[in-house]
Formats: sequence, C-alpha cells, structure tokens
Amino acid sequence: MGHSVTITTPFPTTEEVAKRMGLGKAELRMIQDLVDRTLDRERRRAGSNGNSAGTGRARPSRGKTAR
Amino acid sequence: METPQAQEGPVRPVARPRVEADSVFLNVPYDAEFRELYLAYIVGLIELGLTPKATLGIPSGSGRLGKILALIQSCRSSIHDLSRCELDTNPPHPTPRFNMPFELGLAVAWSKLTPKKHDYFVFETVTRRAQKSLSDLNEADLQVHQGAPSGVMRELCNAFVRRIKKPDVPQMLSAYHELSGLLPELMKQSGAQTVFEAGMFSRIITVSTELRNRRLVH
Repeated sequence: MGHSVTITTPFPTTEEVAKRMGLGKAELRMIQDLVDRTLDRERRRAGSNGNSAGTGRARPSRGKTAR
Repeated sequence: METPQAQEGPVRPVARPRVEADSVFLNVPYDAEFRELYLAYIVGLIELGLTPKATLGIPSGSGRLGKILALIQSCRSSIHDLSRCELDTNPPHPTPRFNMPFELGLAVAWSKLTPKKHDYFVFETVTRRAQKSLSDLNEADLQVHQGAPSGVMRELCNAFVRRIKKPDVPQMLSAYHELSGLLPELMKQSGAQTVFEAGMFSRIITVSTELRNRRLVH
C-alpha cells in the first residue's frame, strides 16, 4: 500500500476557483451559461431517447410486462 | 563561455509562496497524444475537491525555473506523469524529454527539505519502466494507470483520500464525459487551438468545478 494524502479542505465554490484562475465575472457567466445549455441539451436528448430526463436510465416500459 | 546558471541567474523564488492545501502541481506532457489523460487528471483532481496547477501559464525565458519552483512550493502535493519521457523525434535532433523528470527532481528536493509541506506522486503507464529509467527513485511508490482515464482516476483515488463526499471512479468518469461533451464549444468560444493553452487550462478547471458543484447540490 502506497502513501496517500488525506484531503481535509472543503469543496471550493466555482466563484472562488474562477477568481484563483484569474477569470473575470463575465467569463464566469459565459462558462455557467455554457454548462446550462449543455446540461439542458443532454436532458432533452435523454428525454427524446425515451430515457428518464437527467438519470440516463430507461423509462419503465408500459405494455406487456405491466399486465 | 557562459554557464546555464549565469544565463538564468540564481534560482530564487522571490518570496516563499503560501502553501495552498488543496493545490496540486500537475507535471504532465502537453501533447495531442496525452490529451485524454490530461483531461482525466484535471477532472479527477477537481472531483476530489483539489485544484490543479501547471506550468502552462509560465512564459519561457529568464526566470522560468524560479517560477516553476515557486509554483511547486505553493502546492501541497504534486503529480508527475513519466509515461511519455521517450525520445521526441521532432527536428532538429531526436531528444529525450527531460522536463518532466527535471520538475520531479525539484519536487523531490522540496519534499525532502520540507516533508510536512509537500508530497509527490509518480504516475506511469506501465510497471517497472520508471524504476529502470530512474532507479534513484526506487523508494517512491508508483501509480500505474495503464494509459487509460479510468486508470488515472483510480490511482488519483489511491493517492488522495477524501473522507466526506468521496467520489468513486464511475462518478469521475461521468464528469470526464460531461466535460468532453462541452469542450468543443468551450474551445470555440475561447478561440483556443488546443486544450494545452494556459487560458483553456483555467477554463477547463472552472467548467469542471461548476459541473461538480451542480452535482453536489442535487
């Protein structure tokens, strides 16, 4: 078993990380908008594929097995 | 003839930087063939609640070495991937890639001088190769990732242990695929040519953090 480091710090907020990365508020907003759009698109795609939105799991089938 | 030291000047960080407990110095190759693993390291570290730092933003030339050393000193841990130290065949001459083992040497020295302030981890694709090429390092444990993003994430989980809200490898891989999905648009918006640009490094870290934080809320 090798050595390891135990992480004791909390998860930083996106705002804290963006600041540390030297990104301004406008750039952070752009990134958050991009994430919004992408996640929305993924949810719509999952929905149109007959899957439950957000989970990626197949929607419970109706029909023969339900009877 | 001027020695390299005379050209570079004395290597002295301006002031010893404050150590950031969640920062990890990421010493990996910046080339297209390493792209997937590079992204896997970034996403994996962020999923663990850590913040990667790299030399991408440091300009070449005078003072670079001191800035790299200061960057290592500011990080509580460092990761050194030696899987691509082979001969670089680009002109003018085939040459081994020394930057990664060199920066590992800096981190080892810093860790030996201040063992409570810095831990370093050596990552490789295959077992025993690093022991052969760098036998002085036999005391170090190697994290072998087999050249796969899932292997990188598994080894990151072995190296860094989070007690609360600990992510697992499938969750980290899911985050990796989410990032990969929005990367083309992020690059287009940023006008970036490659993921290895300093600006892209910052944006990838911020996007990955945002994705993680949204998941933690839900």
